[in-house]
Amino acid sequence: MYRAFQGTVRLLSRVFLPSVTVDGLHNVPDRGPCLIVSNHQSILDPILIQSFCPRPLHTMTKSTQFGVPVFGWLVREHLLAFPVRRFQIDPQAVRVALRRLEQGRAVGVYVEGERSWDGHLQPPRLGTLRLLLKAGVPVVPCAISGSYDVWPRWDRALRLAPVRIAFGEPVPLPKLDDRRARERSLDDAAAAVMGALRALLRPAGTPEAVAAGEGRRG
Amino acid sequence: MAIGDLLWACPFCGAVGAIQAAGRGRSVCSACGSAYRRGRGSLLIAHRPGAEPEVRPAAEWLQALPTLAAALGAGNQDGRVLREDRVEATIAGPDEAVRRGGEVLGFRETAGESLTGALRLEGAIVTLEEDSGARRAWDLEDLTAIQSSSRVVQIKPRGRPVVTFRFRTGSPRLWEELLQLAMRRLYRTLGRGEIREFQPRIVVR
Repeated sequence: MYRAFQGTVRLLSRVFLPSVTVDGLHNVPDRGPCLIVSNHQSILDPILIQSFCPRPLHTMTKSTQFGVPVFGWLVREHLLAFPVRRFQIDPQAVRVALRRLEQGRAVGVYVEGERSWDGHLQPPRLGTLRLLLKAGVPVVPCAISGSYDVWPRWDRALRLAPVRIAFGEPVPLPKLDDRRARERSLDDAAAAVMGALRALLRPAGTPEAVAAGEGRRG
Repeated sequence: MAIGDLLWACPFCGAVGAIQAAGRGRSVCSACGSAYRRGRGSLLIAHRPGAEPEVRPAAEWLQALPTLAAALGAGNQDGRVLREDRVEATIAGPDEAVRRGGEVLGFRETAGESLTGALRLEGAIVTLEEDSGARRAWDLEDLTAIQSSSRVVQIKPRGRPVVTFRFRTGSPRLWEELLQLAMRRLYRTLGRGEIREFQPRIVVR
């Protein structure tokens, strides 16, 4: 069902989003645990990133989605999502994320915690940074650009626009079991992760991107 | 969602909360009559009465807004009503486990009591004047988290359930910004430091 979902979205995107390009697929480890850390511009992001990521992605998803009829069933049963409550520290979400990593899976998180209002990067969530520092697995930055132009948070209408998904080289972060050491490392982790995302963000379809030979469909 | 959810004030006249949906993808400032609509991508086209249309990315229009603090004036401890809007409020029920097979994937909120009424920010207190005549209040000092999600704003009072406000009038983003501004001012006044994060839990530097 998951592969069918991926295939369906990829097919539909050829029709409705003909300018989706994907770069850096070689940066996603073929196997073993890893964290795919993304920015968040649009409600389309999880659909697109999961569809074009070369590995099945277990994505931390806001808990309210699991109460939506039909959609909640779909994300729970077939799209590998697990809930996170956003108005409190949610230890169960962290436990499930770590469990998936122990099982050798790829886990997806959105480091900003919510969709950007203006399309620009927002400060990272401290809880997400703590997870990255505790997990001790490859942290692969995944920058999506252009989805804000297609479907921004403040509008219901979709527009055609180029979308680019770029997987970057894993960000080197220490594995820190000590809570105080993690707290001391938060600022450095934020700089490393957000810096990596910033470097990957480039408007899709720009002359620079075309000249760099970037962009093949996943 | 509407353009007024993004532009919590009119970039031209500065009126807070004045941009209202006017149908057919248009929004209009109730104060100066400027009209807004979305163009290609995330471009916004603004048309001031008597002037040529201006086209800019949404982010640039946002940068043109006055700061909310400047727009509201100094201080919020005098009890004046800073903002009032009509809402549907939901008090959360107990969390429900989300399971797949035999595994607990996590938990999700359930909806509890529903109310309608006028939501007000009065100084350092958020009040809901229910249509039934009852009144509920939440001190900002007791809040442990504030967040917006789609068309709602949620607050988490310490030791009490999450309250979700869905706006019939007004903008969830404006309310999130207002509450955060009020919280920052309160924390400074109380000597608690600068707030670094509002969700999942308020954290100070």
